[in-house]
Amino acid sequence: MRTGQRLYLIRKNLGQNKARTALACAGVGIGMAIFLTALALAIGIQGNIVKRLREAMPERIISVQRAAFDLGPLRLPTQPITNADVEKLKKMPEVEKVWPQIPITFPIRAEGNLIGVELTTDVIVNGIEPALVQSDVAPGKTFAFTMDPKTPVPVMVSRYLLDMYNLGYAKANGLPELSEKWAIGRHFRIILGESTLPALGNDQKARAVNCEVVGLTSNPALLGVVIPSEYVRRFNYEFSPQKPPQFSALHIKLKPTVDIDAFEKKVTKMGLRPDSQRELIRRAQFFVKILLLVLFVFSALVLFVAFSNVLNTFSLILLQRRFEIGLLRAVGATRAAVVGLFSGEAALLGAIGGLIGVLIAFLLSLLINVLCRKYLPALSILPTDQRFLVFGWPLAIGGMALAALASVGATLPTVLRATGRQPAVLLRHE
Amino acid sequence: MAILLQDITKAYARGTAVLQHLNFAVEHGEFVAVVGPSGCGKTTLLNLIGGLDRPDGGQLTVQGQALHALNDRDLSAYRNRTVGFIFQLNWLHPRLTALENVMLPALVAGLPNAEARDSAQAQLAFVSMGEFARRYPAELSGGQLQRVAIARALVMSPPVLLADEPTGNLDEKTGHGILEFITKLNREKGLTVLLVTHEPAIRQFATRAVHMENGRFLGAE
Repeated sequence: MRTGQRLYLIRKNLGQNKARTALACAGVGIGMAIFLTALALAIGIQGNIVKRLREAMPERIISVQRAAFDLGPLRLPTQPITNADVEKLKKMPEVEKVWPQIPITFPIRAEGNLIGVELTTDVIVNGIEPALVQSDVAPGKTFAFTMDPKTPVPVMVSRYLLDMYNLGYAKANGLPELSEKWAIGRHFRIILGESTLPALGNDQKARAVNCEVVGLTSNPALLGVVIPSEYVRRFNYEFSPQKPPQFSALHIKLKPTVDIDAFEKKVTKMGLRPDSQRELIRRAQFFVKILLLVLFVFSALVLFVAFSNVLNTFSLILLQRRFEIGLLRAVGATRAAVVGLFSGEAALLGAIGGLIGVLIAFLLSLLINVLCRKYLPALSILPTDQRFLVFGWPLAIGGMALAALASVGATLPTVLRATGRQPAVLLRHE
Repeated sequence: MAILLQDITKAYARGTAVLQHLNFAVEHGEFVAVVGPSGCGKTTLLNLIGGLDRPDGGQLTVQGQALHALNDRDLSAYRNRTVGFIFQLNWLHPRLTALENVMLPALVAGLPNAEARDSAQAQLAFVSMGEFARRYPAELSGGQLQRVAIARALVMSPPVLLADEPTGNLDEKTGHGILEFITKLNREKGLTVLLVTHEPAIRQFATRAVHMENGRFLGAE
């Protein structure tokens, strides 16, 4: 039987059985809609949240601090990290690079205009090697030391600081939430040697320095404000020359084949503590992976149930159509032609059902994205484009193809069984 | 020889022998009636000759084609082009119109839709059903359904026509008309006709009648 004749008969059959066609399409469509929506959510989580978590914790870079004497809320560092620790770490075979994080050792106050409101606050500033945050620097901006006093000091701000402002300060004071876009390129001043707390005293040499936000970082070890370490060295020398150089943390880049867990244990024995934020993010990644797995299992189950129903429906339909198969065989259709005819019909039904599923899933994704955008807070860990469910063309086309293939797969065993019988047998039992 | 059966046997799954060592021949252009009571194996015989079933043993040749040796593809082509089948219950597709039912063998053969439609239309006109072409089987009478079934059996111009109790579900007058029509096909178109029936009166339409009982031929008239 040629394709044209096959299509003619398929069209006649589907057209004459509108209720059955609609029922089969609806079954496939609903199953596919749930499956595709879950898949769009999984893609959204994988593409946005997991990616951002991964960016927050670059591969092979761990941060360590001095182990603290821990009494619950009261945590007292035993001794600072020194050059000797850095040198010791550099000599370890697992280590590729060590970037010390240098704290400012005197008070600093920041002041600036925030949406028409003049604000001033003490800030914790740390110096880091620019290489550590290069990937977080906004396009067109530079995070490096320069001798030019007119150039503002480049500043990287923790995304979590923005979250804290948006979820806490802004809400409490009725201020609008701030976006990353708003923050990048903002200028403010830091007053070196001054504090809002009188007890800390003000230095006679206090002076203002212009700063510019050049990027936001998700690195959990870089909470607060960070600037290139060379500025911190010079500021520390200017305001507290008598204090020996010390470091608040070390960022260690490991060689590619190193077992991170084993290295962390080794470092712990040296009296250093791997950053607990890293563990938190690891747990978050694990949680997201579990969530993805649950989503996948759930949607696969839904799809399985949907296609079991399709299989059942097709089996019943084919039982009713035994006579039709027998008749086609009696007038000369080969077994392959009949299998092709019924498979074509199932593929068409599946594709139509798939299209319905794609449309429902697409609309559901749009709706969920709108609701999330409206009701979820602007957390930095959430997608920047606010698309929680990502529904693209590959998913739509793949969904339709899967529905068509699965429908054929569900039909094939019954058709093969039916066409395996002699036409006389199929006609006799009608 | 149009049809030649040599030592044909057929049994069903329960082991009951339906046909027992049948030997039988039909010449080209003959109209043979196989007469026998219900359950004697007439329909099974016709199914084997029509290629709707396969014998368990023996050799079966129709129009020079050894059916027992054909694969599915060749046997399907044989059903499509060599034999036309008229069933007792007419077995028309309920969701196709009379015209589309007659078109079916032509569509299966791969003929273009327009050509299949023209041939079907001509056959419907030949059986005086041209004006009912667009009607569905549920909208036709018993006699009309059987005429559509005859048109379907003839659409591929087969040399052999097989009829299984073609008047079984019809009143006497309508049945008579159908039999006269089949006789006309035999005489005017030279079709070889093999008809099975349980009604002895029908033998008068055939050139030869064969009696069958318990899966065996008893003799010819």
